[in-house]
Amino acid sequence: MTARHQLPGPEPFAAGALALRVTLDQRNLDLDLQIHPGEVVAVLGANGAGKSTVLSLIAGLLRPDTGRITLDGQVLLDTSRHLWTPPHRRGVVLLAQQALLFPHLTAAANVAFGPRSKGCSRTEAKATAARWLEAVDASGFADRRPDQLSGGQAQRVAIARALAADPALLLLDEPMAALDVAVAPALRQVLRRVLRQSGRTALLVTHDLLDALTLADRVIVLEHGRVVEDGPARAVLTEPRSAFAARIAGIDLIAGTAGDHGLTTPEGLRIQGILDPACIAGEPAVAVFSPSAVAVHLTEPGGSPRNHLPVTITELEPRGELIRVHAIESAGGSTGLLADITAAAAADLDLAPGKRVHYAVKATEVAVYPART
Amino acid sequence: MILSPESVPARRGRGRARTDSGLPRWVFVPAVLGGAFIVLPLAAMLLRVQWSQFWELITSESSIAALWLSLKTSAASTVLCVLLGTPMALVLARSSFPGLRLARSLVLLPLILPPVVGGIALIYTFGRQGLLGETLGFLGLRIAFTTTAVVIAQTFVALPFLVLSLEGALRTAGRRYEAVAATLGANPTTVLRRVTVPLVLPGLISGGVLAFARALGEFGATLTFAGSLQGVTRTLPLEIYLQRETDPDAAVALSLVLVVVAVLIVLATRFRTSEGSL
Repeated sequence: MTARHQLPGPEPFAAGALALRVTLDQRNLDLDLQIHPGEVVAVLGANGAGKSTVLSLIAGLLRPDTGRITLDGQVLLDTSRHLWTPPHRRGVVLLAQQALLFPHLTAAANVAFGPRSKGCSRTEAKATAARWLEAVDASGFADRRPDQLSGGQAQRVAIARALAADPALLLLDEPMAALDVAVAPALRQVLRRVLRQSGRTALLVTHDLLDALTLADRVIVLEHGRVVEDGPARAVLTEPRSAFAARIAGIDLIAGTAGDHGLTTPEGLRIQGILDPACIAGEPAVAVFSPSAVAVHLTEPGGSPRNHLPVTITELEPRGELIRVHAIESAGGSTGLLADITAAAAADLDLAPGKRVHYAVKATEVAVYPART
Repeated sequence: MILSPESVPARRGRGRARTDSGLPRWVFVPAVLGGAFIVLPLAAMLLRVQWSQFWELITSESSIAALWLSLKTSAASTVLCVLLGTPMALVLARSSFPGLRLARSLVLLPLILPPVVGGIALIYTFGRQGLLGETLGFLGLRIAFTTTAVVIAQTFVALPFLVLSLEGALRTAGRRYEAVAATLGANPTTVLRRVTVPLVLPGLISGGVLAFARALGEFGATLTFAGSLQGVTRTLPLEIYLQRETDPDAAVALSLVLVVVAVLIVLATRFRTSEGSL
């Protein structure tokens, strides 16, 4: 990144160790959760799984029936000892779907609100606000009122406002969900940049696969108020073990380093695809494509598809009219590579577990995104 | 049936596309009657105004004294209403405790109570032999039949207007901004000062204007509790009532002054609320 995007604030950042153990019967919630400093954790789950409730509990907007939450050793809540830290003393900032900028304040005054509340002088708060507005590319509308901002602009300002408050832990509740499809990628990029560069600890509730993939180190899947999966983003998304993760995941994902027209896996396999503008050559990236974009060949195919992957079939899973082929890359790199083909095609090719085949994918079907690690 | 603007024939030309009200036509008949019921008496009064003496009538010594006293006491009771009513509205809108609903009903009581009854209640509270009156008497404070009594009577009847209006504004504004402010590190007092109050300011202003209007029109409780001494407790409504017997023309002229003030207040609140909802 250019010097323009050098972020304010202390570095390296080492706050944000969260330990949470709560129950809340009314929402059928029974959770045990740890977050390590500097980690970005994505929480996935169906509606009503309790994702947003977790954020409200950590922010102090909701009280659990029983439980204990600590952040960097500070007890935020302990029902057995009747301890309760009010929201303004928790060092936790919540960024929601709606930007919720204070309508009576300018963008800059909104961002300066956190520093001002913590007792910074007017000039100090103003300078902090200016730095963070710059960090999210929002300096141009510092003097505008929220009603003069578009949804994407408002959400940028909201990100700046959240970070200017210097939280030990940043809570993000589907921050891109209310935005236009056209605006979301740019904002995701901004969020990636600020999270990565400030080393901020964050808990991100989302139902968007791309958010989890490009922003998070770790993914947690909630079902009925319980953690059903917890692991590195890539593992959960490519080899989902829970029903929910399998439903939203079910994608092909290959990790490597970004190049000019795609990425190169650690084994030296080149995958061609369409690069996200945020990709930087030589940096970690992931190639993502849909199983339905994959053609299965018995021999190395010619023709236009740019990507050929030699794989070994591990499983054939009937899914209605289709057969989902599970395979691992023969070179031993990526696992859980999926291909959706018709049952007739599977029969013609005489596919069976252990058989070596080739996956062919057109480069136009492959999207390459920057990865967290 | 509500027609969308597109489905309205373009025959209206350059005029704004209008939508059908969807009401049966006969509803307009009682509606117009009701409107006439409000406007007609005002018009009748306007017709009786002696324009040639108008200025003279409203600038007589007793009129000026009454007008000035009314403005002074109404302003003072509006300030009291804001100081007492804002915390009341905050508690009613934001907190929860057993008996909250009962508390809300009690706050609204002066709104429903006949003002004379309110005046009697005030006498037995602040009067010389009242509940607090004796204590106040020891301190050398005599309230009944003073200008202070006028302010107390007006505050008593006007307070619910401010509380109701502000509580509504607080509920409409919701708590989301306050929650955001708290997580950004603002303590409850800072949240109140920098977020809650600015957000409900239009509601507070219109509530204040309503309270002022109610105080300005106060009659029954004032007469009962404060009496009618020129320059001390005789406010404009009392003066009008008194003049009605001796000098009807003066009564009409002063009534017109109150009508003009009322119209200005209505316009001011309309303007405020439409601005606030933007």
